Amino acid sequence: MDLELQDVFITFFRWFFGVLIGAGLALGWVLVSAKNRKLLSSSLFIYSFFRALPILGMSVLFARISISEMSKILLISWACFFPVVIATARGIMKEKDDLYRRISLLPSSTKVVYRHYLIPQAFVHFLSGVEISLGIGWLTVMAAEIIGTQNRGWNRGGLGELVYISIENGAWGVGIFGLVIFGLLGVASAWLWRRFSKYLWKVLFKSELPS
Amino acid sequence: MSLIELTNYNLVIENTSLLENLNLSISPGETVCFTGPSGVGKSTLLRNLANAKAFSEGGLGITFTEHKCDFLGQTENIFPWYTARQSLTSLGINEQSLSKYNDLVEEFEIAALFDKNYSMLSGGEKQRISVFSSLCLEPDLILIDEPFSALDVPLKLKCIRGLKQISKDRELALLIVSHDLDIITYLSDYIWIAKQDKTVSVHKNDYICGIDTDEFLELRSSGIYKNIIAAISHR
Repeated sequence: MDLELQDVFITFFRWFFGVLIGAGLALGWVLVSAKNRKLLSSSLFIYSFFRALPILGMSVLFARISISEMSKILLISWACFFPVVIATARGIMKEKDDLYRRISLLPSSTKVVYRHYLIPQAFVHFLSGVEISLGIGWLTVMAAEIIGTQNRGWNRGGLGELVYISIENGAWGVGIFGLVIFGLLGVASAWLWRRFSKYLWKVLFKSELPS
Repeated sequence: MSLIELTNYNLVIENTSLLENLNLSISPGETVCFTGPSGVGKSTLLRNLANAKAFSEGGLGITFTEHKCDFLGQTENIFPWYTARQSLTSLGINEQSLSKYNDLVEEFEIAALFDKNYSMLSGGEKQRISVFSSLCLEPDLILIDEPFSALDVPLKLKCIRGLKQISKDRELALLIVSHDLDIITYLSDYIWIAKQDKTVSVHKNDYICGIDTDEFLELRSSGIYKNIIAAISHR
């Protein structure tokens, strides 16, 4: 089997859309449930349960349901959803520190609490959650791409499937080279995300992203 | 009329009684320093007062009259994601309000700090910005926990002087938790002393009666501290 640039692109797009859907749904869900603190805190147990389910086991389950392109992306989304939702929810729930007490005493407290405290605090945690989920996305890609290896969306199995099949068939060179590419993609995506986070923070809050 | 009144108040945290049967009050313009051994419940009482006022939580035995109150704890009191200026603006302090306090900016030595990011501020700088922001909000009462604990002595004395001047000019009441003898002796009208037996005794501060600011600073900078304070003062 030969490694082609197309395999890398296909894997990248699966990863990208998987992370995008997972992180987007997580942020949306936390914002919707932000006002209901009981729901938010009780659902943390549920997230912890689902987060602990092994990805390989989940990939078999997803393959049972569907072996389409969408099921590959949804498996990645599934894995990326939990780190983001847990980090962001904890960001919103961590509220009764001294600053929160202080701004709650202000005459215009509700506006200040939401605009200058809860939203930035949740966003800091959201950005950290996404950074973690980027790595989890790469970890999940291979499991996702092994789903229904005969049914190839975009006519290609992607880098994950290529690595799997190469190593299975003793083509070690291609397999290890594929793994190195995964590592490089992981480093590049984390680096780009950190730069993008700083830019996004500056645009949204007109200040430096807190370290 | 008191701004805060504690009537038979028991300070209980997670089923542990810290202070019992407190009967205390603070009147407008009064400065009270609350001191005592570490871990006796001073900061917890201050937080509970803030919680009672802000969230109506744990307020059994606490009575607040209608007034503006501010709280400065030991940790973050300004937004850690903003510059000091952005923090002040977010708290509702505009440039016009700031210009009223130019003297205080000088006294607290904070003019150069406004455009610094939070992460670039030292502990003492954060404390000075926090107290300054609180004074700009013009509350009737400020609850402060260890306000100048991270400052060197000469700067601390300047800040104490600034705070005392404003509290007298504006009839601002202060409840300050502190172990600092400069704050306790120079700033307070009354001293609350928490004891290990879970009681709090109230003392009128007669220790420096009649001594004005310059005399106090002179007194503080004399004796065995004279040389070291003189050395620190040469910035």
